[in-house]
Amino acid sequence: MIARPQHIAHPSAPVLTTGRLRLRMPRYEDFAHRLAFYASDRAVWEGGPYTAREAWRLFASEVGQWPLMGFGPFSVDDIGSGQYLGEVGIYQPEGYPEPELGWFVVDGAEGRGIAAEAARAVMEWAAQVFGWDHIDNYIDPGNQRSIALGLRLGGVMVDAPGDDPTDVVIRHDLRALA
Amino acid sequence: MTYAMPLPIPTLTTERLILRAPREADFPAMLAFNESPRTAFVGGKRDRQLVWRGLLANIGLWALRGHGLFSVDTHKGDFIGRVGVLFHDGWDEPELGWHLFDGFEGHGYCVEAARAARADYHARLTLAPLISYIDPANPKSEAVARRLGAAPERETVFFDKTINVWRHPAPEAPQ
Repeated sequence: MIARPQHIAHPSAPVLTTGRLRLRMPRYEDFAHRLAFYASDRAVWEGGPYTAREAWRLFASEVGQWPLMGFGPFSVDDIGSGQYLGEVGIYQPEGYPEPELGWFVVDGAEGRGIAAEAARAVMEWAAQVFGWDHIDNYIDPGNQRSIALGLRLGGVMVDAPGDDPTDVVIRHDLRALA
Repeated sequence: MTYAMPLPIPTLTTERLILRAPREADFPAMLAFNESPRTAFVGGKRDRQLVWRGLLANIGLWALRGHGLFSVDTHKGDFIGRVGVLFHDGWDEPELGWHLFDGFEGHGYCVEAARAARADYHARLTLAPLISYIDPANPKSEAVARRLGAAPERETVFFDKTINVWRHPAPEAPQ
């Protein structure tokens, strides 16, 4: 099992940069993108579609993980233009057995490897800051694109608990990143 | 803009109370409050998962908008309730809100904490006067609002209920 850190090293998201991306603490303006995503058919894999009120509660509560848990969502911007592209982060709502790696990208930013590039940066950060030896994705079995991404990142399907009993759990080995 | 990232969340000290950042140890008292009839005027009983999400969402509000509910302790260390400025997405305006847990009413704690939270909000963010959303069937909260100098301004529909919007006085101009 991996566990939440005893000491909160980062009460808000640090800035992580990759070749094409800047990952940073979410801000209020980012909510509009979540709202659009949660209202769309793509949200069906995340337990949606959600109303505006539910979407806000999810967004605010996940941002609120940072001061309490020391990890949470990173908003992902294009490093050149500053354009918002999506979110990659570590999530642990009530009932999750462990902190989970998750992602979404906005319409139009798909198919460019954005989520993969951002997820690699977050995994490397988590390995170094928390010393975790693995992190899992919990993915709805119908969400083939996310499953494919998890496997492309080097993850393997494991028989471990997720959020929902039917979830596909993909485990990433972080030991080489620490 | 108001995403002034007030992390760490400020700590306010009044004569009898300490208004501080929420923490995980607040959860059991919030769950007990959720189980009590006192939750009727703040949205009613919720699932345990949503109470936890509520604790986190309030911290998220601090991170995203620069204000939120403080957890309120007595100087002795009793956690007595939550008071502060809320402004969740879709609300008309920032709202000064309060609720005390069972057994801590009748001491004027709500008024004392709300005055401190209101002054902190105006000092750090804006001088625009706050509102409070109050159900007309909640005379105790109306009495708190009156003691804070607020007055009823209009009716509104809030979470499918017709309730009153109370307007707080403008803060005194900075000296």
